[in-house]
Amino acid sequence: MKKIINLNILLISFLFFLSCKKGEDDPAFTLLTRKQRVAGDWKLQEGSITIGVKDSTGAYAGLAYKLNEKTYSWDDIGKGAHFEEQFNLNISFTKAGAITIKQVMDSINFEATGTWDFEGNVGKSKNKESINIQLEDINTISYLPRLFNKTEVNFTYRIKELRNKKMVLVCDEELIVLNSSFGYYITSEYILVQ
Amino acid sequence: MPGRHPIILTLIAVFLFTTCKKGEDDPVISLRSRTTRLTGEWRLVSGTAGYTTNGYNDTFSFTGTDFRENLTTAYLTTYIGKYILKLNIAKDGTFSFKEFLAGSTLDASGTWNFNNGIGEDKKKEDVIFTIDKVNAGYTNSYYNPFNRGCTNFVYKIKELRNAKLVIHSSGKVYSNSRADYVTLSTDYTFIQ
Repeated sequence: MKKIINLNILLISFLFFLSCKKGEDDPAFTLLTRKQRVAGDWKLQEGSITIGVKDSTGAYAGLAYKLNEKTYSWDDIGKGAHFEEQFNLNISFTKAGAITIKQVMDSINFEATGTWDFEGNVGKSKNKESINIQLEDINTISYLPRLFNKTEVNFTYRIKELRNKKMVLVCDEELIVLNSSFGYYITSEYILVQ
Repeated sequence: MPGRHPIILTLIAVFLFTTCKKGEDDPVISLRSRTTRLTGEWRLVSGTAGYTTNGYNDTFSFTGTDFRENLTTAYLTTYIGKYILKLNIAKDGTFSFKEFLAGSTLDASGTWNFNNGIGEDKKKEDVIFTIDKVNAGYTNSYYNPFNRGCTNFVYKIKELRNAKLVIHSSGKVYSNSRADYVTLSTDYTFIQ
């Protein structure tokens, strides 16, 4: 009888931990809450950004950036040229819901503070699957699509993977701006480590 | 002793309902969930929106059918015209809205969600909207303040009743090349 009870407890625990998995690459088992895992000082290890621009005729063009710890690069196929520039991204999340973003890109030193929160489980979303960020103080321009804030003061990333020392944030062809002459769509992935 | 049980149960019930209150003007007791109360077809009955930056103040007041704009720079200019805002929030996490102001229309749809309660905001105190489709208009139009010029925007729910919704937003919206930010504050009251 004791063996059956122990087995049941094991099975229930296993199912409980499986149901805690939100991101597709999350660990199957973790003792830290999602908030505890998000909180901390993160720096970019590598990433990618694709900016799709659809003009008023409907023509679609993409520009792809590759990111790493110290540089970012892109190819201009039309000119047959490869560009590489300075890059750095550090993000701090606190358990109290504060966020600080510091990003160096070309000559831009972007610094912003604000708040973060998980999103809930309305519709198809899983609870705490996505993270929503609202910027309050920004030291410079914020409307460049290749900045972490995707041109916006409020923005969301889906958490693809969340471990104690690794977090992967993604957005999938997200509409950023649509105006009379063009629309911006962003697909990006940021691999952050502590 | 048996007579004390109903009092204790009542106290527990009152405590539970009180802790369910999120917005400052929410009802003390509601038997419907926040998702159920938020979903439906909402029609604006009153509201305000105000853009502010250095030496510039542009405020709009809305009725269910009209707007009045007071633009203050070196002097005051007033405009009046038609204004319509309809918001449809579905239980499956989708939403759509149509906003018409001074000839500028934004007809868009996407997904919505509640916040989770990290930091100062209570769980389900905020509603987060994400536009993923635009049927008419542009997402960054000055004359469509509801979406704050963004495809991702957040509203604090001040009051949520079965047939009444009051929401508020504030903060920076966009900057010029010198990083001078425009702030936008909006308040809307909807009924079903």
